[in-house]
Amino acid sequence: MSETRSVGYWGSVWEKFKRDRFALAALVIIIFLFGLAVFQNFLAGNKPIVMKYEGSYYFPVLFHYPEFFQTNFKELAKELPEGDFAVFPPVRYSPTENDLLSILVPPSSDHLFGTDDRGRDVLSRMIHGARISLSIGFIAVGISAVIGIILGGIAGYYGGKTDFIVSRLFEVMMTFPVFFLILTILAFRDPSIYNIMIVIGVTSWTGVARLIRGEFLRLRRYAYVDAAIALGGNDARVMSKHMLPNALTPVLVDCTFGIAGAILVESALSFLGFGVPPPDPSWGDILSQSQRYVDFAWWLVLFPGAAIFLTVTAFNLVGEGFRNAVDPKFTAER
Amino acid sequence: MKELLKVSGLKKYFPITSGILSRVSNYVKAVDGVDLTVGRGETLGLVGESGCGKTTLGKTIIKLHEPTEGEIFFEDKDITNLSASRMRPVRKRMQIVFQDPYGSLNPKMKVEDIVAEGLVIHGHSSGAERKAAVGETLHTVGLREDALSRYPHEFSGGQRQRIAIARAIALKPDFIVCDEPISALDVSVQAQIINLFIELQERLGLTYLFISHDLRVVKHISDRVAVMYLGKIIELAASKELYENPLHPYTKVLISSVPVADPQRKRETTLLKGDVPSPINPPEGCAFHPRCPIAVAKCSREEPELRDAGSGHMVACHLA
Amino acid sequence: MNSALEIKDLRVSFSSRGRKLEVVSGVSLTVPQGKIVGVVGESGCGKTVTALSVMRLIPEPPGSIDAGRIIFDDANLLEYSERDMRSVRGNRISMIFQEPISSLNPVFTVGDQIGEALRTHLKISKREERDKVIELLKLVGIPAPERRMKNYPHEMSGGMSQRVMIAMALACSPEVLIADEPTTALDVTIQAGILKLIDDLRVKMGMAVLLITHDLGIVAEVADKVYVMYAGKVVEDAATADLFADPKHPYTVGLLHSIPDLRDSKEKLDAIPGVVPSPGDFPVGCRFQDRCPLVIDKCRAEEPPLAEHAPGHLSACWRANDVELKV
Repeated sequence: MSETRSVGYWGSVWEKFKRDRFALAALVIIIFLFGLAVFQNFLAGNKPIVMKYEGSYYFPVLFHYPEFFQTNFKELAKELPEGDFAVFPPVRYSPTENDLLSILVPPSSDHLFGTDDRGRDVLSRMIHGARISLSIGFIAVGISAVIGIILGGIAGYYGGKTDFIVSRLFEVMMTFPVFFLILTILAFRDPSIYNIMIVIGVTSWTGVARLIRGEFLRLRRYAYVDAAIALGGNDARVMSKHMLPNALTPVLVDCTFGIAGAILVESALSFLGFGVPPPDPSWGDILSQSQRYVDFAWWLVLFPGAAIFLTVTAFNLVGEGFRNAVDPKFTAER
Repeated sequence: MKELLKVSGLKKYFPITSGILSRVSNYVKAVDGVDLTVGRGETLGLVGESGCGKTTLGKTIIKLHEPTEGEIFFEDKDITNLSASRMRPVRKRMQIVFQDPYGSLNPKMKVEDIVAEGLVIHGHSSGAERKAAVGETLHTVGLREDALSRYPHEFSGGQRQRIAIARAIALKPDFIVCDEPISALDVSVQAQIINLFIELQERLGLTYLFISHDLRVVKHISDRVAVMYLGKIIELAASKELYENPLHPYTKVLISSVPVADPQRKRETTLLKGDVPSPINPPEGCAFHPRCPIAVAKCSREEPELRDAGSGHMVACHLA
Repeated sequence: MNSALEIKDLRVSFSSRGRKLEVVSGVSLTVPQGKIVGVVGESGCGKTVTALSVMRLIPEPPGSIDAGRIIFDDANLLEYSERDMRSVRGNRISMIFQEPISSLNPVFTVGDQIGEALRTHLKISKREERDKVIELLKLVGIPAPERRMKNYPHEMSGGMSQRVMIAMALACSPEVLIADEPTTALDVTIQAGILKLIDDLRVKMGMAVLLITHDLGIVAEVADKVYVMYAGKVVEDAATADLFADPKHPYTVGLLHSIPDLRDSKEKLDAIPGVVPSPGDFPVGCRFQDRCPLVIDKCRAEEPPLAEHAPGHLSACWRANDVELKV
């Protein structure tokens, strides 16, 4: 006990996760995507990261300066006097910046991933699209996890009639073809990014709910749950403090797959024109443009398609690696 | 001795459901009419084989199960139908220690939080005071302070059982249900935990309901012993009296079945016919009669009452 | 007296997180023909691993049998091929386990499962098989065997399942029966019946029995000879009567004092302090030193050999002659 001093539960899960090369590589991809999402304005945009202008320093990416309202920094940079300078992001185009002189330009040193039918830089749109895809994935799954945990928890903890009623609700929900349900709802609402998150979230909680219900039914028989009740803990405390932490692992695994699913649904919605409204960039949206030019504009298909494929695969691989790492059956030395 | 706990006519039936509409088709009669009193500072032993309902009885007494019928009095106060919130102050005073030291501690909580949980729930004291109280409790059960920030999986079975005992005594209860607290432990560790229970009782004036299938242990620790068979108490007497002068044929068989660590004392083992009947449809009359070596016709018709066979030795047998 | 099974200097280890941990460190024991030999010890002492080694059922990896010989029928079982071993296992050496219910396959009737054991090793007709199954069930004391053989394991109680397991183990009239905690999962009244059954069958069929248990009471009742194991080693080896009358190892004394007797009550027991050291944390010298009331400096320096301190009574203790049973 002394020298193997608690690596802890998550430590040992990480030890096992690390052994799966594919999952590890997939995790690197996801971390990279997060990097893109967090630093998108430093990577792609038409405002300088830092600029020295008339002796003062400015950070136009981070702050809004009224004196530069509607200033075209690229034009400004060309006329900077001696001693002043401007450092631009590596991709010098904003995702919404139209350049009608360079429509549907194939990949070149100027536009690495080419441009779309409005002359917008595809690489910039894809970098900015990462944040949208990831936030839809995480927030939609977050919403579905909260709903699923609450309903599944109530069913599993109370059992009996409560369980009977809530379980029938799951079943009714599961009979709906979710994608068409989402399409129908979005047809009546503005397809804003928030609406998409909410709609995906409230239609895809059944998996989590069933998992939590099963875990709670199992944990309900554990003596430590009885002990917590015997100490006088109320239902909410017993459920949240003593049962939920022990039921969460399979849910986290399920959520990883859920994120992949949500990203895919968003792409499909955008592709069909029900997704993120323009001019916000989304991978599915870029892909949908390619429909009209598919015979020559291969870059509009390849890059967003590959990005969606890679992201969804990465989340699935991480989910799988994670599942194996937490599965006690894989605990034995392999 | 002043009585601390009194149970009368206690029943706990579990419904068996069947069909898609979960209709109740029958009941498991786990506890089927039990009367008991436990005196303050006493240890009442409860023995019986698996499936006799002893664990259910223990859990129903501290209301981890809602009783189906009957009454439970704690210090002359009827707690049978108290709501969860009215029950909370009573819970502080009655605790439980479980059999499985692996399943009874929340694996995601540190020892400090496990032991402090009761203090937190009942809003006791500030963080610093609580920490001191937890440290002291751990010391009482023979664990070192450095256990505080560790997780249950870092401890052996015996140490875990000490943590579970610390959790139970942290609220300074009067009454503890000990539900097979040593059956899952190794022999040498069992003895340590038995000693701990005896020591805590002397120091803190605790009252125990000590449930076990091991007659040697129950005999050792109890003042009085109750023998349970198919949801009913069939014999109850002072510990020494019960072992020296068992009256119920089932008790006699139980005692003769205990292996004795002495090859010189070859015992006469009475073997029982058949198995314990199902508590769903217990036999008519005396529940023990199909296996009883001395049963007569009356036993299959009439259920014997638990009666005093002299100086407080209670027995439920027509022939005793 | 001929020995049915002999284990000589067995060493078994398991690797865990890249570390190799020895769980059985040089165990030797002999099971004479027609006798019951008890192996007593607490969890982690290596008693079950020793038994599984005889059956060659140690999962490799992570386990490995590093040294020793297991002599059965003048041959070393450790040198047998897996194919040869299959003809021994369940046929000439059988094993029964602690959990009867999980040892039976839930999808076959008990009659099928006993029949399976027969078919594997004997060439018999369907008719003979049926008769033999009924005979075996009768032998292990199951009432109405014709009806019971059609039952599935979940329709039987724990005691009945253990009887079925014994019937399976006995199907081919083995020469050696290894019983690993056969009654631990059962109630006392059932336990007494199972122990009596094993003893009766030993007499009737002349088999040798290796009975593994943590309960000294059980050993006292049925065993002829006892090995006490602690932390992967045999620490005491004696005829049952000698062991209980005059134990020569402080661990044995500690175990005897740990069991409450039906005669005394509500006194403190003389518990052995501390816990069993885990493999990999064994101290230098005697492995019992940290829990021993008789420990001297020599115990911390040098490991005591298993030596004879009275005729046929071996103990691995430097102070074997100072060991006393408190009355």
